[in-house]
Amino acid sequence: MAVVARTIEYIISGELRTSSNGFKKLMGFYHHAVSNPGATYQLDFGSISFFDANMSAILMAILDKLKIDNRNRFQIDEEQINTRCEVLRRNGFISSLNGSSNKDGDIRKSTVQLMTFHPTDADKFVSYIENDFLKHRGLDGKLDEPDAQKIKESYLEIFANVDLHAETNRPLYTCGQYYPTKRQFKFTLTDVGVGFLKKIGQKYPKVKTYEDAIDWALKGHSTKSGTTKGGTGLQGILKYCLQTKGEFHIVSGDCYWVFTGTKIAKFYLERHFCGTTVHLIFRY
Amino acid sequence: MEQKTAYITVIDTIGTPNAILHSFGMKVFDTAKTMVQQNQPIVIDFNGVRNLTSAFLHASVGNLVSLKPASNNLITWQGIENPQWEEKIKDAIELARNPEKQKAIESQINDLFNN
Repeated sequence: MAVVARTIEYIISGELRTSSNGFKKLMGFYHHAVSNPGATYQLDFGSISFFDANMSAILMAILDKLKIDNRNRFQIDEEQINTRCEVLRRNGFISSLNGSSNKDGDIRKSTVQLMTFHPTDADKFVSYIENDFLKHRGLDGKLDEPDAQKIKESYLEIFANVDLHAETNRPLYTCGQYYPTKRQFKFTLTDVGVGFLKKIGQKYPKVKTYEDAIDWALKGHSTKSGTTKGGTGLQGILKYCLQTKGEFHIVSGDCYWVFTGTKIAKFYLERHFCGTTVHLIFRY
Repeated sequence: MEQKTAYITVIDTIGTPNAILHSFGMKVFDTAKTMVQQNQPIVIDFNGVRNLTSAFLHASVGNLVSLKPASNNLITWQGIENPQWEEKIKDAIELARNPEKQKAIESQINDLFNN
């Protein structure tokens, strides 16, 4: 007898912001799907009231991981997206989900397109940071050249670090959104690797928790074997945020770590994801 | 007998002007390692490089300096016009020769975590 795959309707409602609560909401969905292998999900965005487009980098990473590791399939009502959450069309989320290209782009130019990169695809990542990110209307001309260079190099250091530490051949995901009236620019980079703790903990047994591992990396350490100490790029981003009152979030394992622009806060995540997510919120 | 200087061109060695990955730095290290071990002077040529990270520099220049930390002028470079990159190279060398320097940087960051 043929087994009919179940279809589960899952409602993502309310606000999905660049915050620990936004992350927890996505984790709620991820763990629901993990416990339903092979199920098809109808994602309902009908009661969503706010969606930071950059958070779609995490959502896409989750969907891809569930498709590969858990045999889940996903359906989205595109009409609903058009009326409730059309930023997900403009930023390329819907076209990525459908395996097509976002040929219309973002006519409002408020988003940096959702993009995936292989961890060794250095040239593609450089082009994205130089052309899509730093030349976005939300940043172009608003950063002086030394700051633009610092941000670019910090992201390149983070990218280099994913290749070294994430232990994955799967892609990393990036996406950004510009809020001109709030004078904010939000940018997210997420990978589906092993996170910070595994390699750091192997090399330094005193580092036992994800929180320790994030602190350790931010203090400028690196696990690059056979090399002198270098740093992960995270410290460079932290220094930049310290100087500019920017916001910096790192999520790895059960730790949601935030530099608010003036102080550090940490949140425990009961349900977590693989890999590492980095959010950067520029303010000017 | 004085050994002839060898020139290592970064973009030819790694095949891209984006010298950002640790693995790219290791290609430069692997190319020059034997020369440095045999005290042959090398010049690392950065001409044409568009992007450079410390991850690359620690893997390449830093590792090469670590082979002969007491030898000055064995490893030199050319083609760097960006003063920040010059600083990064010097940092990589400094850290390779003097790991204690890292501790001073860490203590500044530690203050942030302890407050």
